[in-house]
This record gives sequence, structure tokens and C-alpha cells, in this order.
Amino acid sequence: MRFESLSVGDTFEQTVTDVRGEDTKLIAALLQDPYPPHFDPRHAEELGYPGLLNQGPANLAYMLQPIVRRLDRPSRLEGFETRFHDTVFEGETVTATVTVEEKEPTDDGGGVVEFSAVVTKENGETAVDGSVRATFGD
Amino acid sequence: MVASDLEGTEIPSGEFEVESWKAYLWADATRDDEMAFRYSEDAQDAGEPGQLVPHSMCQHIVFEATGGIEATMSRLSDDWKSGTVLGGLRADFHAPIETATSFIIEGEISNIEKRDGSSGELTIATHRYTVSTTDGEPVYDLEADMVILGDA
Repeated sequence: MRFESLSVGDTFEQTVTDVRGEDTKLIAALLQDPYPPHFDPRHAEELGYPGLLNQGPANLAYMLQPIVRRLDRPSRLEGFETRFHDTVFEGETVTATVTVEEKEPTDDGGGVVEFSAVVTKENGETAVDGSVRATFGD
Repeated sequence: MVASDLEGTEIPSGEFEVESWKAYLWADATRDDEMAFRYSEDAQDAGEPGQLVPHSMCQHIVFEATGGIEATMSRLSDDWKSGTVLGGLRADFHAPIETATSFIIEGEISNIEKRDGSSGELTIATHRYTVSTTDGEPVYDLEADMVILGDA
């Protein structure tokens, strides 16, 4: 996507349907995360959770994806700020929504775009929100 | 227990690289369809130097380089599994995060702040990390807020 084709207020969405417990377990293994609710259904149930607990960095991944997929190169993601508000569990569906808030052109015809971003659960609760900066070409 | 005198504590520096298969599986597990996170050819076709690490692994890299999750959290609380969560992340990227590349990570506990939350007192321990190549080129800077629930 080109810098000039983006306008303040443009919004993009991406939905992750039914967060999969097998993914949560795989992420726990990759992270070497020993916290049991990420991989042990019995432990999650004892804590009153409806399923395995999705990891925060996975929720962050959902927030970044609608932007990264629109870049010429993934490394043109310049940075982000995010806050984690609510937990996401196995079986839940979440939607990442990003909105163009600000555009700053650069001399080469492209520019830096600032997005607001939010990952929302089906019940309307915010799981993650924040802002993301990325460079788009001309 | 979190002591406010942890503020300014240097975290042992370390070195870490993300192997190709880890980036691939992370992309799969987070339902990411970006092929530059899976294949060098796809990354190079997009103008990248080689297969990339998903940005959302940035916390994993700094934690693993400096002792792992257990060591990071145990500095803050003896009983971290009972109420320590990731509260926020802030990252600035300066260069592509490539797979199979060694990174040098340095960090510190930059701030300890106590607050009254909706469910009682909490402590926010901000960790600040710098990530660079072995040649000293900056790759990214990261701040991670770890939230310890209860009277720490």
C-alpha cells in the first residue's frame, strides 16, 4: 500500500476466529513460558478460566498484523506502544482494528503513518490497544 | 516482594539469536500470513536481507538473552505465578530483526512505581532493553512494564 493512498481516518480490520489451544501451547513452548494456564487445561479450569490463556505477545501480534501486511517490507514497521487490558482465551474470537491517525510525508515521496490500534473481544472488551508507526513508500 | 531499590538495577547482559524454525512456527501460531517470517526467498523478494523475526517476538528475545522468563519474573516476586502480568510494551525498531543473527541485549529495571488499581495496590516494574548486533549496530529498543498485583 502506498503512502498517498492512505487518508486520516482510514480503518483496517483483521479477525482471528477461535483462538486455538494448540497455538497457545506452541507459543508457550517457543517462549519457554512455564506459566501453566498457557498449556495445562486442568490448571486453567482451576483458575476459573474458560480455556487456555493466550499469551500477551500473541495478542500483540494480532494488533500488528493488519499494518505489517500492508507494508512493502515488514521491517518498515517503525515502532509501537501497547497496553494489555484484558485476557484472551482459547476459543475466543478477536478483531484487530487499526485507524490512520496522522501522516507525515518524507522527502522521498513516502512517509510515516501513525495508527491507533485496538484488539477487541466478542463481548466488546478491549484486550490490547496502543499505537503503531510505519513507513509507507511512494 | 518488589523493593523500590530495584530501580536502576542492571540486568545481566546476554546474547541471543532466533532460529529460522522458531520464527516460522511463531508466524503459524499467531496466524500470521506474512511469508517473510517463514522463507528467506520471500523476504529477499520484498527487499529484506533474509528471513525476518516477527516483531511480536521482541520481548521473547530480550527475556531469553537475559536469563529467561523465570529469571526475569523472579527478580520481581518470589511468587510471580500468582499475580504478575505483562502490562505494556513500547518498541522502536532501527533495523530488520533477522533470523539466525546474534543480538547483544543489555537492560535495566528503569522504574518502579506503586499505584492504586481498581482491585488494590499494584507495582509497575519497567524494564528497558537495548538490542544491537554483534557489530554494535542498533536493532531495537524495548520497554516492558511488568505489573505485580498486591502489596509488593
